Amino acid sequence: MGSASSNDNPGGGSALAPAIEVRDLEFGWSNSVTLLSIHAFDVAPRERVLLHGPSGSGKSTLLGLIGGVLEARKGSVRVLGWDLGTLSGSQRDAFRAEHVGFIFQMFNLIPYLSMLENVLLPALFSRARRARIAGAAARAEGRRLLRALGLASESLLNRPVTQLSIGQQQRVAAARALLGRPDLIVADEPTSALDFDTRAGFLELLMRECASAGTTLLFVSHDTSLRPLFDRSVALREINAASAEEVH
Amino acid sequence: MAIARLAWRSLWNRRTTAMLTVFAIALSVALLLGVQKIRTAAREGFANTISGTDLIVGARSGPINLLLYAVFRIGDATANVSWASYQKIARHPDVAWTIPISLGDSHRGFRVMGTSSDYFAHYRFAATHQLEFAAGGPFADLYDAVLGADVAQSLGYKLGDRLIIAHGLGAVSFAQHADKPFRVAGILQRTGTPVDRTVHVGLEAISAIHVDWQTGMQAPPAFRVSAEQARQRDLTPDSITAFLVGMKSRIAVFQMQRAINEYREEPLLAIIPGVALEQLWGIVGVADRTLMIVAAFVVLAGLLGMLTALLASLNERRREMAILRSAGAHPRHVFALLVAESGILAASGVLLGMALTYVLLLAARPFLAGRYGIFLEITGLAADEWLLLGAVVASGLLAGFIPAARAYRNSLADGLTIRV
Amino acid sequence: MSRGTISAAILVSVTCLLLAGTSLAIEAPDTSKPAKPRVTAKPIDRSKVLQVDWEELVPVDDRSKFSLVPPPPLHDYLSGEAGPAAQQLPGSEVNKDLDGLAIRIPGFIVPVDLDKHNRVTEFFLVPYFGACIHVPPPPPNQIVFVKLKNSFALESMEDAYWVTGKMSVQNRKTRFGSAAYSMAGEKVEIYRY
Repeated sequence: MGSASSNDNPGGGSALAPAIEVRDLEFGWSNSVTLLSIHAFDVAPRERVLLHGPSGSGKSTLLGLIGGVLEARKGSVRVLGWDLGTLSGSQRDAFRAEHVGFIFQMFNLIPYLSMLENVLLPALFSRARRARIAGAAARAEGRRLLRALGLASESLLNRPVTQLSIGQQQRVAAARALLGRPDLIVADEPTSALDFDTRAGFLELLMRECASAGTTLLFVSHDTSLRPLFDRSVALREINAASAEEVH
Repeated sequence: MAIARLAWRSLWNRRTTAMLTVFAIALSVALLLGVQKIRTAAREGFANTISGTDLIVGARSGPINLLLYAVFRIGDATANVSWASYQKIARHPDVAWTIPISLGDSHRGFRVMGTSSDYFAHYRFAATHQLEFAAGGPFADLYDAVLGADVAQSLGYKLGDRLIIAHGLGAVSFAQHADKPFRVAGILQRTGTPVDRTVHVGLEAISAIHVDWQTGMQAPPAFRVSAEQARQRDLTPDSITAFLVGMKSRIAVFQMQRAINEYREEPLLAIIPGVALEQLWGIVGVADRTLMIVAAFVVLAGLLGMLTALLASLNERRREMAILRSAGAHPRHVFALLVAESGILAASGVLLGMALTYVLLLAARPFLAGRYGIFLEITGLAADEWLLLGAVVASGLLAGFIPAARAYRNSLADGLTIRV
Repeated sequence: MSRGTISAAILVSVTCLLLAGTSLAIEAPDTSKPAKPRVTAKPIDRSKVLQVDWEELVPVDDRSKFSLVPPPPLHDYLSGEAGPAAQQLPGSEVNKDLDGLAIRIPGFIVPVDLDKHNRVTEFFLVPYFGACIHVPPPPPNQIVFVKLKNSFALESMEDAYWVTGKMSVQNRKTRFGSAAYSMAGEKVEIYRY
């Protein structure tokens, strides 16, 4: 991802700079409607933040902006020091591939790929990420992650991914997000479809891996009971001045 | 190539639809390729059939008609050429040789041709090839027959075997010349022309078998003439169907042709074979070009089927695209994935189509040879045929741009939103 | 451009591609490689090619001769008698000055021999179309028998073509007196009016 690296990077790379820095952000799906209006929102490196709010409040949209998939109408979004607004579409894609891992609420997996292939997806699209884990070692790392997340049994490996339980699928998604030790993991309600016990197990594994890899975690959920597990908890309505409903 | 692998897995996941699409394309490619091969074979077959002949002469009908029945044994003569006229022309000082032809009888579906032994000396095909014997030799006895390669092969004849000639041209005849059996005296080597499917006998033999026939029917037993008795008679024919002419000086051809066409004693027609062939292709050419265009449209229909299948699947694949994008895929990767899928479908269809073509051609070979005198050589693909297949694959790839573009725009618009 | 327009544009391109491929195949028998050289004469010097009119094929002294007496009717030709009548057949004298020359002459093609790809290998070159049908045929000194070095795909017998090659006047004794024109043809090009 040559061009993004050579971009002006004020304050990037230093351990003290925020992992995520949002300033005066404005976004709406159409010009007449404003969904997000955020004056300031920071996440420090290695921090594990829970962002909560009711459904439809714009949490997913904010994640899209932070992930570089959506472009802000106004304001700036800085991730890991890079101002996403100054990058072109393909630069943002490359940036995301290299530095960010995603976990969605459900349907995280590509149905026609195996568990391991799903986990290794980021390596397909990011040379840098692949380089960090050096080619053939990617498979070993993928397996290690699956093992760490309790998914290494033979019977599971041979089953088509569509036959895995929700909890298992979410864990595969987590393994994928963690592949190559990204700087930031963005999780959009990954536990909302899980039952209580599975949720606890999932979160424990996720936290442990993030801690060992030094990954920043931005976790979005409507479930405020998860608060104790995180370093910090932020309600979206605290930072968002706009009041329009998000439409999915 | 990661994208190609993804595309392959994705198609395999939807293999029922994919296989139907591939089969549709395969059928259309088989049609296109099959038509192309038959066209080429037909042209080559016709062009190869006769060479070194300056004129073909028959009763006055039309040039193409004369060419077809005299050389290709397709169609029938309208009338005959009298022996007297034939002799007059054959004896002309400018004529080097003539080959008389008498048609009208058959043997188990193969045409019987009465001719002189000059036929084996002068007939040429495929530019310079002469007729050669695989076994035996030309007529020695009155009731000798020389078989073309296909006749001997399909009916299993060897030298010395007997055969009965039937009256008329059908595959089955209820009027047989059973009292005058023939003996196989020679079997010709394969020529790839209608010669292979012809039974050759002497001109006199044709007279002999008809010596006691009147108005298409054999005389009652009291008046019959036996084979041996027939030998004693004067068997000079009254008429022949047509004859081939070789001139001593080629420049004289036009003169001779005009003279025959304006001959006052009898209505005759003389044609220059090359000219008649070109005229034939002028007519047939329109039909076969049209056929090719129709075949191209059938391929287009097959590709449209593929397009429809891909487009229809796009909606349910938006989630898949979002996942890929979250893993770092650019929208152009999504584009490439869809194009790769259509490329794989088109290429598989083409390959299967090629195999289908050969199967169909193998099955059609005997039919084409028997009915139309077209001899299909089962060969590899010519350069123009590879080009045709390449055009189909390229079209398939190009067609893939449509769903690819749509998926591209979708993934840009959707971002990471869950759209199930 | 709207999505619909783009899709339509792509569909049209696909159709064109397919038809282009098909028409290439339709024309393709003509793109096959020409047959091996049939006449192995020395190639002519292109700079010395002489453009010739049909009139020049008639010997100089004959050009001014014109007889109002019609020639003997052609069907009498079939009676096959040699003799003075035949010797006087108009157009049997040839212009020996053309022997061995490299010339270029326009005319119509009457195919004689075709190779297996339907390309013409030998033909008569005549001054007008229809030499083999209703109109009287050209006299012998207005016919050139051409043997081509490389076979040629004949588009239409109704088109005129320029034929370039080395002319030879054969001194063979035939009914037509002394000789006939033949040519080792090197190049055939379409004639544009």
